[in-house]
Amino acid sequence: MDDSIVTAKGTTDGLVLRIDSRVDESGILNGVRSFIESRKKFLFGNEVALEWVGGDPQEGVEPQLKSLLCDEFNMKIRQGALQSEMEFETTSMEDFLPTEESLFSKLDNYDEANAKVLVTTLRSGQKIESEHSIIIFGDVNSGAEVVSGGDVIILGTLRGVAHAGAYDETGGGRVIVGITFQPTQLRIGSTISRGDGKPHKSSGVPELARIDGASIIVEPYSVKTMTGLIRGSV
Amino acid sequence: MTLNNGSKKSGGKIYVVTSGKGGVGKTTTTASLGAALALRGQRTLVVDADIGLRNLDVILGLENRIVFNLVDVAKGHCKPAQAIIKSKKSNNLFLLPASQTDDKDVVSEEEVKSVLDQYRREFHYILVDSPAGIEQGFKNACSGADSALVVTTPEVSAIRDADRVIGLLAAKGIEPHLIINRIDAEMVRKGDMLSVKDVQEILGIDLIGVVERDDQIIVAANYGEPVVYNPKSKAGIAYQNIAGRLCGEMIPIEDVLSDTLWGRLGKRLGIG
Ligand SMILES: Nc1ncnc2c1ncn2[C@@H]1O[C@H](COP(=O)(O)OP(=O)(O)OP(=O)(O)O)[C@@H](O)[C@H]1O
Ligand SMILES: [Mg+2]
Repeated sequence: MDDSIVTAKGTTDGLVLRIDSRVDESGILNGVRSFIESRKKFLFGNEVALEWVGGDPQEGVEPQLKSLLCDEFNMKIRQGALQSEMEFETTSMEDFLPTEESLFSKLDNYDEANAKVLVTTLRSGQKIESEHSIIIFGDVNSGAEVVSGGDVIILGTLRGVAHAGAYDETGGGRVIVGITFQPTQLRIGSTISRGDGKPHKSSGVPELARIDGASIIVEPYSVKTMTGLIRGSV
Repeated sequence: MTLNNGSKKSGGKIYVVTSGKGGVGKTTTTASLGAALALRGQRTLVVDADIGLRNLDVILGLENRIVFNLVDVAKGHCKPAQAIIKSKKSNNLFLLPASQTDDKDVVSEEEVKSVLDQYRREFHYILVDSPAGIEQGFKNACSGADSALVVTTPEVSAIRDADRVIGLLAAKGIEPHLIINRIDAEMVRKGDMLSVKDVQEILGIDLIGVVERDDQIIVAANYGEPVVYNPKSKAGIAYQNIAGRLCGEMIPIEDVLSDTLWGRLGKRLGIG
């Protein structure tokens, strides 16, 4: 069977099967069956959306196709047109784990190609500033300051002052992430929150600070929150 | 004399004893450690770089023997050998005093470095007592040093200053070792004082010694005899151990908590 009747692409919303509507019904059904059969590992039980190349399909084709996907391959059909800009063509299904791919494609676009990466401990009196995000493999001690136009990510203990989204009043949705949070002060955009002066008892898990309404909130770091923030939907 | 203590340059190794914050025990450490190294047979010179506020001579009880000083050597007013004073207790311990009548900026970093280099060949160890602060006096004291002994007490402000100094030393390529001074085991146990581990976690550099709060230090200072000559003093023993570690011996860091009532009880009950 000829695979070119069917191609797959990844989008931020998941997997899309693109099917050539100009082929006849049995051609489409056989094409899709063999396409999925040869990539069962990735596709079986997954959710896909359908996109027709070459105009709407002939009447009766779509219901047939749906029952093939749902009954035979235990897949789900995602409704709704996909208007995402961030699509990429896949050459092989091997590069293609829908959820992770879609995250990475979003991250690619997330302008951090110029992030400043430091492997050092920032000590009292030292200050790092960058218009881009800053990633530090080390501690930021009391009396040290990190100022970033993007996010601040500290793979260590934050004891000093961290400022994310520094050149945007609103903070631009930027966040501060640290393995251990004991900050003197957190700033995002023009919002400032200061420690209570008492030695902060660390929650024992990595934490994330972000703007919520008019103030900065600190919560346990989770991939879900972070990706939600990147997508701008939190 | 053959020297072999790991220094790449010919001659002894120069340590600056520094802290940022004042009054945390730099001078006490310089004198005690100098005496402890001398006891081990290491020819040691302690240098008072606290120009205008000299102390080291008093702690060593050598105040009344001073004729020339560091500034005199730097300016060529005397020969290097004329300015150093042998200690009362040991033939291996010498003092290069500071000038009491000058300002910190009467000498430059280059001048101090060249003075120290003139003594390097004659000694195994040179310990330079730095003034508090991070200004000219501190810079002078660091100028000839290979390594640093950063002294702090377990107080937030002292740690903050030590942290600052460690950053400045790193910029100069001087390797820092940490001494935590005046720790009080009972206070740590009650949670009223930062522990050795807390301090270490913040500063993150090699810990070379822990010295407990010990009234014998004050007694020793008043008599002009370093505390290491008192075999009953815990601080004295701590400085002896630091000297051993400087000489490359593997001596474990003292566990200050093990000697509190709770520590002793815990050990007896098998939970310590
Ligand atoms: N472990 C200790 N236990 C008790 N007292 C101590 C201890 N260490 C230092 N001291 C006392 O603390 C005071 C300050 O010590 P010292 O003069 O050595 O500090 P310093 O750092 O040299 O000060 P400065 O910055 O003024 O030069 C002295 O009175 C000394 O006796
Ligand atoms: Mg002093």
